[in-house]
Amino acid sequence: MSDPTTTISINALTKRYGQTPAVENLSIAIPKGSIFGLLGTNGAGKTTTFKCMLGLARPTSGSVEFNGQPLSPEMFEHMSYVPERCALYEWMSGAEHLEMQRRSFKQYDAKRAAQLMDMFALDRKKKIGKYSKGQQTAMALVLAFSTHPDILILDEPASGLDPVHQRHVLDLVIGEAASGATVLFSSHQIGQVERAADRVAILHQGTLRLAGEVEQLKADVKVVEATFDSDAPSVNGLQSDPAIGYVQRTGKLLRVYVRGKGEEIEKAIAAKSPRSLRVLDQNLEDIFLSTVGASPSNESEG
Amino acid sequence: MSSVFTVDPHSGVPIYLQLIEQIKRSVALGVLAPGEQLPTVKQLATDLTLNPNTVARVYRELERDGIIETSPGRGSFIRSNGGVGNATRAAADVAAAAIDAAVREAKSIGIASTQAHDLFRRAIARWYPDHHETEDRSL
Amino acid sequence: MYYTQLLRITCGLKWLSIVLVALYAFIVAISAANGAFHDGVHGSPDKDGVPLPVLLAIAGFVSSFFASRYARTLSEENESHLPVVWTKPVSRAGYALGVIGVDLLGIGAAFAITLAMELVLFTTFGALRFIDMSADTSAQLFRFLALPLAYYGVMTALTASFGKAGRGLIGWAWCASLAIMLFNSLGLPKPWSQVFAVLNVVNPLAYASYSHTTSHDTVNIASGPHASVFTALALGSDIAALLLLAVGGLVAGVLLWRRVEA
Repeated sequence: MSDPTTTISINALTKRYGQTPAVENLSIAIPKGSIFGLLGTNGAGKTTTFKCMLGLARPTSGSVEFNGQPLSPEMFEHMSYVPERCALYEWMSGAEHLEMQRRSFKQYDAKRAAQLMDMFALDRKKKIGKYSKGQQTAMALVLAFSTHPDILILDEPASGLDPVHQRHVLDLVIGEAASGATVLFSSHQIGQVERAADRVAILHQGTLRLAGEVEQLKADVKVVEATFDSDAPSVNGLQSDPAIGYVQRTGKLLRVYVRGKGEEIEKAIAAKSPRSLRVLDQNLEDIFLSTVGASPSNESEG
Repeated sequence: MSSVFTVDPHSGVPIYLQLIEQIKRSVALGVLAPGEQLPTVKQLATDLTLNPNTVARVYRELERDGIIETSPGRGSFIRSNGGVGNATRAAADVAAAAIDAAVREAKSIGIASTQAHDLFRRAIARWYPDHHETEDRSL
Repeated sequence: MYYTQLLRITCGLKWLSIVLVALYAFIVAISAANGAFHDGVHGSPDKDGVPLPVLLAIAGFVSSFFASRYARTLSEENESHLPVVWTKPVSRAGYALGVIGVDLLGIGAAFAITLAMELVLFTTFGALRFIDMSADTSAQLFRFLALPLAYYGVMTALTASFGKAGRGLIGWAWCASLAIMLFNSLGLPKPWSQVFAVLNVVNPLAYASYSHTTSHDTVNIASGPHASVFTALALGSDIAALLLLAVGGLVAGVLLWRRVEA
């Protein structure tokens, strides 16, 4: 039943804290070698998903499998996690953390670690408590990448980093993926996700709203924009069409966000004799904003 | 070499298509010579900060279009025979697509066909200063 | 894998040594100022002897304080370090036991260091011969070695589910330990006496009572011979009880810790 090319499979994952659902019925398949971006506003459930995946929190229902198997401690030999908040020991120095990593993981590569420490300009003698927030994130990344993991799970890896270092993180992620690793990361830098990720999933209020290949989503999701000589007509007939995500009518301007079926919708609007009509592409940020800002009638597709 | 290529995720054209076009263009113009080796997928992905699968797809399509050839273990090279011809043809396709998009845009903002034609002629005059207009009634 | 704990413990032992040496220097300095070294030590070992168990008891209590500080090891990891700890290729129980192993070695070392300093102190005053080896010395040794282990076990169980609150809990636990002991010896009316008697069962202090009477004076540790509920019990039972508290507490602590959510 499990696909050998699926490295991580999240199955109907639900996590409730008391009565409040943090994640509801989430199902995602992450193929081997993919760079998978998880997008969502704060509180959308991204961090909760990571915690449930890694055994840091117990799911209310559902499961997560890695290469068809449930999580076991040995898997961490080939898996690295960088959490959102600094989990390192403030009273220990950078060098002591590297030593801790060396003793814990057989795959630890001291040369690589040294190279990464230099890249992020980290002083290994300083205690982590004295690092800036960005440096702490960088240190966690150094530890994660120095063990040559097959699976990388990164929660906001760019937070607190200056643009130069953000670029380094992206390069590292791409480099690892090019060497065969599977990367799952969440980020608010949608532009970066757009370039680096081949697949994305958009989470909102704990549920999956949209998922798929980046290029596919961008090809599918368009805005049909029309201006009319008088006030824009209503599109009530079309509104029930599941392909329509969002309709915006401002005076003479009509904008319809469509998913797939772009040409049909375009023709339907052309039939209303607009003065001008064009179809605009959406970049990932637009898609994200309209997905999370849109009305609850939005359906998600896998 | 890779700094020759840039991609814009916001242009509306899929990234892989942009990269394919740029490589074809470089070959057509001779910037990339026949027999020249391209960077590895990993190298190019890292240099351009792009998903490696995207770059791999680009290389596959370039091979399918006869622009490059890949030998396992040795790398990817611009085809010595026919590579340039294929690229030039492909470059023509790119130009055709761009002109088509421009005309469609003009129409969508309400420009009349005669006016569009006029704009086109002015653009030719500007960018091809050596071009001399001949009366062409077939348009 | 237990490297972090090794760093913590060695740091703690270093501080313990510094404190003990400072104390030693202080005592010697005061005594020297009072002319202790001019005349030599007075008295005879028979009448003014110090039973070895007293020294062992001191070492036991000092290492109990040391043990308490490290009983919150598991809870310290709960303070936002779990993503680092639980993403190592080792089971949680395995990790916890390894860390506890390091702690136990550290407690043993603390005991030894304290005892050594006491002996050094005695030697400095030329009073080594005053130390009395009573018949049950080795049993007392085990008992006062088991005391910090019992405290360690009980406090680990108390703090394993918590994060930062662990620190405060250790302090309260010590107060409770002394209070329960006290209330138990007051002879309160029922049902209070029963309540405190039951609580005293899991109070390591209850098994630390030691009494030694000579013709001159009586040495009492932990409120003397009537403090423990089980006054009739032999020393062996005290040791068994302490070890039971130690092991039981640690098992409970590890099980609780595994259930924590990050």
